[in-house]
Amino acid sequence: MRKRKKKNFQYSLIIAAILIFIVFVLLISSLNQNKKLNFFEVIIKDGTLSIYEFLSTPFTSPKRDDLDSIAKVRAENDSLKLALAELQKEKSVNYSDAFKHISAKIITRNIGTWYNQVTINKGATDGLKPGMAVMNNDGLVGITKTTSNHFTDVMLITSNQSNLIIPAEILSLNSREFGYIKGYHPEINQLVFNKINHQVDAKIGDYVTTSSISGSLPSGLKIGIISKIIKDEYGIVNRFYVEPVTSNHNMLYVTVLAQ
Amino acid sequence: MRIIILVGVSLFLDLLFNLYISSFINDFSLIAPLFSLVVIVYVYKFFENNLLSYFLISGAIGLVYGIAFTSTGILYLLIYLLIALITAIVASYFKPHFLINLAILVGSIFTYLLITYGLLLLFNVISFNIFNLMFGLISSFLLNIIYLILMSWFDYKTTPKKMYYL
Repeated sequence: MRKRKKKNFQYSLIIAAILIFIVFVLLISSLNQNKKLNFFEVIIKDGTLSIYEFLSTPFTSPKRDDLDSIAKVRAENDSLKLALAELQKEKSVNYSDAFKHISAKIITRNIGTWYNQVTINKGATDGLKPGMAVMNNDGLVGITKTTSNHFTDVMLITSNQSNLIIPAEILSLNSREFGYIKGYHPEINQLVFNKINHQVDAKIGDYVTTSSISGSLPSGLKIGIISKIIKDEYGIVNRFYVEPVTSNHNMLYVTVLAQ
Repeated sequence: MRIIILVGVSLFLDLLFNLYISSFINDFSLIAPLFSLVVIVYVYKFFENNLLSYFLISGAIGLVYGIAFTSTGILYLLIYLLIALITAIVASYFKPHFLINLAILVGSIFTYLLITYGLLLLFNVISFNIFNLMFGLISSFLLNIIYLILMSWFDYKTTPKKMYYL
């Protein structure tokens, strides 16, 4: 009887250990930041968000004033395109934008938890992939993260996610300082710019933009303005606080720069 | 049918409120919605004698919420199952009552936030920031308690008196 009880207890322990191991493996695969959505996840995500987008249309449609201003901007854009084409012809210049601009609407956002991200209503069928720059009128807003067929998660630059590193540079009068943006302090609304070398020519008020050596992101997108310079205990400057040029609030439309 | 309506409306409002609050209110330090969690705590009373269905529904809500919001469906599936388990255990010791639901909700929100924060920290998805943790904890109670009150009132008004457990 005792031996049987002991055996049962051992079997229970083994089963519990296997279950905990399976749960851990599932969690690791679920939380892998570079994972692609599998077939079922794509179906659930597209299905849920499509239904939600349809039902939320009365609440999130642009107002009449916004529609009027969109029409004006569209007309202005058309006339500027014509002017550009004429100038190119005159000056025999061959200009082409390496990045395609895809406009998208933000349909949902997760506040109050640890993911600082939004979901936009464009996905793989529109040419979006992970790692693309997302911007609004002011500057860089985030980087695309996970795409399904019709929707994409965008990780905001004001996110504390460990794997968010944005190659950046400081534009000052005399030089360019290369480095990267990693980290965000929500209590003071400041990004952290880390420099690659220790010489400092930059000063407070200089702009921080995406770097020309980043490869995947277009260069020159505004990220923020230097607001504070941090020196370490040896007096060597290696970090800057950057105030983002974009505001996370009142953000309904963005543009994705697709290569 | 009532349960499907409650769950569907809660998920819809969860997504909508998150967008509206972040878009139109600059300081959302006290109003982070977790309506899908509230509905899990609330609908337990319909499943007192059928716990398997309760866990299935809670897991389904967690899976859909996790995939739609964060693309981490498994994480939310497991956490919502855990919240459902805690709700079932605690509620089994008391008679169904609004104040019991309220107490379970507060405990569930606290558990949910601590577990998600801990797991994301453990797997190096986010970096540790005490301000973020405190902000997340403080911001998650007020709106969700109000939602529980409204949902209880709505359910009470639309349920025949004989069927209502209070």
